[in-house]
Amino acid sequence: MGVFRQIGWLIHKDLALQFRTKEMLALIIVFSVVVVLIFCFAFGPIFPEKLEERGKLAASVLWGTFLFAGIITLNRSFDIERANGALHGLRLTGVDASYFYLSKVVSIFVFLILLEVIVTPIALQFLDVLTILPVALQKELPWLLLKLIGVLAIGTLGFCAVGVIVSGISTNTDGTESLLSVILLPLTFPVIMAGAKCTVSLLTTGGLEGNFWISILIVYGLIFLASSSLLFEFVVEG
Amino acid sequence: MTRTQLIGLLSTIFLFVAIYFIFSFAEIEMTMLEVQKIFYFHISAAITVFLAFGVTCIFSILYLIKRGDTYDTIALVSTEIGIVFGVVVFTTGPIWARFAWNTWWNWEPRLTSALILWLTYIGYLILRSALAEEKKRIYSAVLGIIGFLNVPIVYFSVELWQGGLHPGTATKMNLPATMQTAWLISWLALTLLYLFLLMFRYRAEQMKLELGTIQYRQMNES
Amino acid sequence: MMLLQASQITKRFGNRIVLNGLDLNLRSGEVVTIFGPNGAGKTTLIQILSTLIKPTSGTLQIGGIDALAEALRARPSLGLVGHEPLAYLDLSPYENLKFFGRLYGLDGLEQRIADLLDEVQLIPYAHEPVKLFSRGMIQRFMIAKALIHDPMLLLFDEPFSGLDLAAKQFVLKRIDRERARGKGIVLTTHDTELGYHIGSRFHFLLDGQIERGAEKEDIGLEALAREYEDRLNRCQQR
Repeated sequence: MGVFRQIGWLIHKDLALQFRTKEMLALIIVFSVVVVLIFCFAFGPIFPEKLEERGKLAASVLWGTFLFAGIITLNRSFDIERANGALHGLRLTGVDASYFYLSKVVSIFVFLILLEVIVTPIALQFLDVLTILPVALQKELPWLLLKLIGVLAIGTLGFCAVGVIVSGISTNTDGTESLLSVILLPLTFPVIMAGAKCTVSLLTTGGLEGNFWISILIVYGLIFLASSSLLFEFVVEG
Repeated sequence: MTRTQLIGLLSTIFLFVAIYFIFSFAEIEMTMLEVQKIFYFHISAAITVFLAFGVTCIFSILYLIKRGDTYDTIALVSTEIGIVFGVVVFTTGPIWARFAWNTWWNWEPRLTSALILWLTYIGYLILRSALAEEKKRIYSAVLGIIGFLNVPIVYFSVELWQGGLHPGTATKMNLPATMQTAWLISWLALTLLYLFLLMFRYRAEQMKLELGTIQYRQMNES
Repeated sequence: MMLLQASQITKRFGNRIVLNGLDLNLRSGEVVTIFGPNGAGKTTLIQILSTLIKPTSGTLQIGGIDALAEALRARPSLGLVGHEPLAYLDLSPYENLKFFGRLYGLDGLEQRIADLLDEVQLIPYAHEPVKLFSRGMIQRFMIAKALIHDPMLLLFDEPFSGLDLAAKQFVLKRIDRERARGKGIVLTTHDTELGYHIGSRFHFLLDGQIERGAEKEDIGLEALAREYEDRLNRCQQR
């Protein structure tokens, strides 16, 4: 019990800090929408007519956008821990490093999923996907969106699992932001690949076409959650 | 002669033997003709890349358990050599792809996994140079482990992602016996070369550490 | 009871030896003042004693616990006032104390927080973000944060630097009260007057080694200041 309460308090602290300044969520939402718009204009000249291709485009735009938004969120969250020795204060309480890790994963996950719930419908509208969906899918649009958020959630969890440990490392360097991207992006290729595949098939058929891609997302998340919660002690304690 | 020199000599000999076997012994492949000969070093170098980063991963784990600087040094030099062999893979790969599939790049699972792994470990080296002396060993060890855990996932993803567009590429070829022999020798030669470079670079790193200690002592005495 | 036993503590950063085979013991009710110039390794010593960084070699016991092997278990019995606040400046003192108090697993937390905030005269500002505070207020908040779990061992790293007279007096009084309550205190400073006033035993940290331990009964302020000067000069000549 004590374990969950400690993790709970850590998450509570993180969320309090993240939502204390409302600008942060606003900023990251605006950032995501702007990135989506940039993709829209960049793809403008070759904007595809067919649903299947437009679905592919939408999937890549969504995952690319959330990846960049995720990196900004991670950077900010670890800046807060590093500033003023807050992390040392945390260590002095004798709290286990793996609790700290898990709480960070959850709090960043919550923040990003909120972002995704808000931005996904906007992005799909801008990319003009909703209007050309087959009638069957149009009818159960909320259900489709829910499934889409579910896939995004699983992928985001995997992203957070890796992102938190890599940020924990890169926050100790000077060129933090660019370094985090360089180290983190190659590690997240499977999430992007599998996530985009799932999203495409959801947008074009309403289903997942077999379990392979969603399993990749789940396995990725599990492997990195397990290994990172063990390794995080080394990141925190040295 | 030291062990390092012996291995160096052996790898040189094997490299020449391999070149002889590749060009004179192995038969010429029917469709690609001489260009196919790039295959021997390409595949061998690719295997060495995985070997090198695998060694990084194993010695990173050892470092975290036992905290001997030796393990960290081996992980570091193995990464560096892996990157160099990666350069061999990614220059020979496109040449092969250009003649085999008429394109410069092909999302073949092993090639793609190697590329992602390669980028990850370039990140490892950049990270090392950005970290303070105090923490760089531990942090790079953690990254060394995580980077390698990604390999199987990437491999399966890419295999399905490119969805059998190129069934039975280089992977499932049945090699004639002469080619098989030439390939085995090339592989042995490059593995020996890896081993030699590893020992050589390891010794160099050791000397760098020793030099630092001596310089520091002299500075204190004067 | 021996609160703190450090023996043969050595710390190297690369080839640079910061602390060289240093010994330090502390009983409850003692205030050990460590004098040393900037760059003598005072902060490194305090960080090692607070288990935030590990020594290259040596042993450290805090309250009978091997603090190197079981850092997490040793930490709740120590409190640290360092250069940095070791807390979240976006949160208020109340929120910080509540968060850290919960992680320490304290009972009757609300009362404890109210008492502490009262003692450090921060009640009117209990719900303002700490980042808006003046240097003196932040120092008082840091003391409250270090005392929240009523630790047996207190470590102060340069607690007087950057404070005005009133704030210095406040810190002195606070340290004296904790000593009277049987706490063990280690503090570093380069201010001989304040350090002499508060300390019950004195050491010099020069060249990475602890030199001489004089009890207060055996030495006057002037003699101490002269000796410190002498040792500093000799150290600079070497």
